Amino acid sequence: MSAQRVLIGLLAVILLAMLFSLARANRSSWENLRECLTPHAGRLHSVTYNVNAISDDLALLGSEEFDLAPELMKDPYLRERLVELNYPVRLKSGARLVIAPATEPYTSEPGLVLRTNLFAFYERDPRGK
Amino acid sequence: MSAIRAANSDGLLRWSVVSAATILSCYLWWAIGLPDAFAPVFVFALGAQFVAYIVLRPTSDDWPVKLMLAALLIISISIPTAAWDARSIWLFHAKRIWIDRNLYSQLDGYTSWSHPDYPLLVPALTASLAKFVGTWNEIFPKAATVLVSMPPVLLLTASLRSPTRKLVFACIVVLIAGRALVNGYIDGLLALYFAAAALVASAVCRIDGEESAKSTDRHWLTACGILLFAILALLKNEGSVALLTLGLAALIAALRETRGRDLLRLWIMVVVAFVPIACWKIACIRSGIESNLAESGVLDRMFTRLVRPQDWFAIADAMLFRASLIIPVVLLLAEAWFRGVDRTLRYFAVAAVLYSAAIALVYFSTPSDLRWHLSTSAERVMQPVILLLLFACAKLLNLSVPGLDSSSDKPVDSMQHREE
Repeated sequence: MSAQRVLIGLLAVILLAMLFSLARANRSSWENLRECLTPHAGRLHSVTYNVNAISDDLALLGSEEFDLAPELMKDPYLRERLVELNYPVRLKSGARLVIAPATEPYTSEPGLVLRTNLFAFYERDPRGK
Repeated sequence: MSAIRAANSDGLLRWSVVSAATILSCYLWWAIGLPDAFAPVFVFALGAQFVAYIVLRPTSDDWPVKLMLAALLIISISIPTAAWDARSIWLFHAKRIWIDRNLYSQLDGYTSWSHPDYPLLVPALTASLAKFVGTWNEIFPKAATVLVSMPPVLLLTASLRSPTRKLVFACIVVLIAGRALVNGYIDGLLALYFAAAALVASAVCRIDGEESAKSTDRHWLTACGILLFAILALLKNEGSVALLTLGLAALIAALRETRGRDLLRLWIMVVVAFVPIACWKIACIRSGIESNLAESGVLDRMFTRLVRPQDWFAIADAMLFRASLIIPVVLLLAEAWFRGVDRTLRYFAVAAVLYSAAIALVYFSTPSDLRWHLSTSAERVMQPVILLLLFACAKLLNLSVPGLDSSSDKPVDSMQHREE
């Protein structure tokens, strides 16, 4: 094996390591990969991070109600946070928000006040527009 | 020109032109207001080019770039969109286009915090991707960013003639712009397009001293330049600044060696490339949408900060004192010291300095709190400068092992026109 090939092999290993590190740092997962094309079931946003943006999105989609999965209403932090943000909000018709527990931490952003295991999912209400 | 000619002989220059034309056509389709039902055709075409390049194109030494692009695409569709700008600006704009089926829907003044004045090339392609898939979620649409990265990546790769350099370049892209390419930010794209546009601009002006050029090369080069310049200006507001700095750097180079006719040709290309972004800005002005940086009192804020040394230090600290910038600067200075100043390298350096100065002026005049603005953006906005300088390092790199395959790693001849 020539030294040139050793050098190229070494650089290739470095490239692979960097790509792997990039995937890990961004919380890449097979679960996301499986659901990446799932209709109307994308991960919307961390509730604690930007709940206002969720309402903006739903306002665009149109929704009358803001539904919480019952088990999440038991979460003391979430309940407190929603009260603080004056939820439930009134939105236009056509969609509903479902917040469901997630299996892994949502974000690797270090500056969040509280890291949450909550994901927000939204889907169109089949009875809506 | 020789580096560009190498790209043309590889076929990658034409590949870049076709993929860049597809991207720009998609934007223009939305901008003109043609039926949105046909928008997915552009995504299909771009995706087919992407897959064809990675899978079908016979390869000799560009496997690192194929590996990188494929990996970035997979990573992008396996992570949720978490970062603020990615989700609340770029994907939000795309979602509005997708829902309202109209490029101009965000000019209604709704959610002014999402910077509705930002250009919409990537959101338009993202919305087209969502239409192609038939739905929306917060995962797959941002993969459009990886597709848009194809033209500059191919062009820059083709100008590096050895597998070693291409491997190093792939590592540089992943290190500097990798995160921004997979998480929905635009800054990684801006960095790649800035470097590619600088390469094309230096070839157009024949800064490398190349005398002869086949007319077919120049036609493809002109097409490539106009397309890359137009896309660069449509990526972000900084893209227009980047394009202007490339033109000004060529003007400065013209004082020494560039012929006036080549410079005029470059500036005609720049002006043509500005037409789409100018149309967008006119639409914004007519709708009463303006940049948050244009709040009244720009000069007052600038002069106030210009006389405060602590603000100078804060800006310099955030923008310049970072290893990823200092290392290539030291390497390139050492190269210039020991082997003479390379003209193409000098052009890159002037463009990098001008762009950095323009960004610094934005910070001096920002209406936001300076520390907050720096902490949230300085790392991202310096990516174009860092990537351009590291790309120059990769071109100058000689990693050949003596006696073993040394021919393939000789310095690229476009970088051999030096002034002692």
